Amino acid sequence: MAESSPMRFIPPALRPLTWPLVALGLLLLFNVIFTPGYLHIGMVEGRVSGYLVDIFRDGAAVMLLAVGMTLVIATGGVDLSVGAIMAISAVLAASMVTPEWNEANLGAWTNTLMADHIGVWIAIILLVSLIASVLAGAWNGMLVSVFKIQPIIATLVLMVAGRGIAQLICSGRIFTYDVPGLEYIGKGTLFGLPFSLFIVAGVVLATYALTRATALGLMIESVGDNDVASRCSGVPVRNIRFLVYMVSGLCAGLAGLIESTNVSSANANQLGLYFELDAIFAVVVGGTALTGGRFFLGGSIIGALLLQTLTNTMYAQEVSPEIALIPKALVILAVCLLQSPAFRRRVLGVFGAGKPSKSRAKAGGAA
Amino acid sequence: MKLPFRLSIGRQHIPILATLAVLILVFAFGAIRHGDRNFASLYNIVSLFRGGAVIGIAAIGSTFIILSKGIDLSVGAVIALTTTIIAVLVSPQLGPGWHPAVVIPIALVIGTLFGTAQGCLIHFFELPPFLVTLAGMFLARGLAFSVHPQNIAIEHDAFHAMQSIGIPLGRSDVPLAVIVLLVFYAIAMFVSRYTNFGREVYTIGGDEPSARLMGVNIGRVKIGVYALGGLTAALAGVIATIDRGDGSPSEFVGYELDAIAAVVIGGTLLTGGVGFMIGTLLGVLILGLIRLIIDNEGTLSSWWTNISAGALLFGFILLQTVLVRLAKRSG
Repeated sequence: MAESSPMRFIPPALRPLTWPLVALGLLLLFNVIFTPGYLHIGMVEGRVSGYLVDIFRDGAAVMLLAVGMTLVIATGGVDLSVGAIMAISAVLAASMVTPEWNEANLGAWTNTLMADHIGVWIAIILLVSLIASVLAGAWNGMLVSVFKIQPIIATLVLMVAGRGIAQLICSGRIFTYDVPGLEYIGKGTLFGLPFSLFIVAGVVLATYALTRATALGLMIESVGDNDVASRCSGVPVRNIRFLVYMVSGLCAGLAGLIESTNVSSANANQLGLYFELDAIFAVVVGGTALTGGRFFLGGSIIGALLLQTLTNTMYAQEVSPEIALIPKALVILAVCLLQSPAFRRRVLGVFGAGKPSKSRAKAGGAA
Repeated sequence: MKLPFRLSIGRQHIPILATLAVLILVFAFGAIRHGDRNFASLYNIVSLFRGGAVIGIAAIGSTFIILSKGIDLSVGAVIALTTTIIAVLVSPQLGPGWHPAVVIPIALVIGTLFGTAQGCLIHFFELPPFLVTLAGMFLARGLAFSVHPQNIAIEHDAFHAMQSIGIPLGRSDVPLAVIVLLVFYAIAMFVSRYTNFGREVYTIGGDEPSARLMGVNIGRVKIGVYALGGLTAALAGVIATIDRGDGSPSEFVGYELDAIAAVVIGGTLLTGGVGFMIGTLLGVLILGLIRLIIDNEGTLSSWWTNISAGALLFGFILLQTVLVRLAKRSG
């Protein structure tokens, strides 16, 4: 299919990203035409601002989730629990900066520590939240790798129970806080750019380096491609599976912290709701097949940006968030259809999109 | 004594027997612990069925879909869409003010068409069910809000009449919702065990390539289960509209998860091909009982419902994993 007429002008490395990039380009074009000042990037109070920066800032959480989800999907799995893990991590952080919660659950000494050394306490909070997220990921990893439960079912357990656990932590209350040090994660500005972007960039680069500069990426893909063959060739299948779910948990924990510190509160019921679906969509749009065996980290990031651009476009056009679900659904379906080999064979073939590929597809279908 | 049917208990019955045992245990626990509040009263049992009616009816479709090795995430949104459409169409202010006898069939047809469309995308273009029904969830939710953005109270005599329908049973009335629930489970059980369609659903879920070789029309069955899923979700929406007396585009969030949880707790394998329709009803009742007990406890908060549902889900998944592995070992 890649040799068909339009595709041969595109470098092979970018081919899986063609359709998402085209969709992103069209969306941006639409915005440039219909939203005044869309491309304008200015400085307001020492920070870079503009529609394009907003996309990156608002999309930070989904980009992070997409990183973890890419690795999980590459092993042939899926992680439905990331939204619930986001809620757990966010609620833990929000609870631990609430003096009455600390007094009731941890003891009065924590409040003295918070008053005297807020930096140390914030470090402890981040550590606790992220460790809890990694543990949640490890639970998923255990179900999938040790108990050999199908990933979609294994992670469903935490998806259902996770929000209950988050509500258990905060007794169903919604804590709001005013702790600039903690809020810096979601709202802060570094070198004029949103601080959350540096977290995303750090996670993406670290993951890229770990998977593409070492054999880890290859092992992850081999597990997704054929786990029996991988085990026979000495790939530590069980540990790899464990690892990807823990990474996904960690990414979800970070995403939860960014989302909740951005609004200085944590709602166990609402925070991160349906984010797992956005993350999975970002990954699939980015060219990583749900069947596993191959992954494109850059594609997932583009997928996440595509989703966020769409959402922000709706906001700019003053479409209510609920009705914005309709174009979102249509874009999801369109991109999935364009990537489906069966759709290309059945529909695009009829329109003669690339005559050489038509005959080849027919030959393939007959064989 | 000779029974008119063969009564043999095999390994395939272990999950459903476990479900039944859990149901009895949970009920007994509630009855003993809250005996002073008439936990085991007929009224309570009827209200248990009534509370589970909407999810229970929607879960019929989910059971067929999961048996065929698919999944449907659009259930909650389709219910919301149905209630909104009905409320707008019967309202003389917001819509044409048609009679419910016309509106309800329209709503059922819309739900069925919605499910059919999802089924077609899944079958013809080989898209993952999970992604298609996810897009379906967004689409149905968005459509519900674009039909009308707020809750609409229904003031229609026919709805009041349907709300007051009840078959007297002891000192309580069995409401319409429960009657519909039981009737449709009876139909669904019959369809799943004794019709070609039902058997083909099991065959496809068990092994699709083999089913194709055996001459099963895969497309017809696959599109059929999703159409059925749309129909039962719409029917659940109709029941919800009658029971609540309003159309609500923002409600019923997460009902798809409850339906899937009920199916799994009811002993149906999410890997397809194995399970019983009646198990899903038992699963719905177990989830309802847990909610009822937690309400009765007073000191326990509502989030324990989520946690215990998750724990139950985990228990049943583990049980099935063990059983499947045992079955494989013994060949």
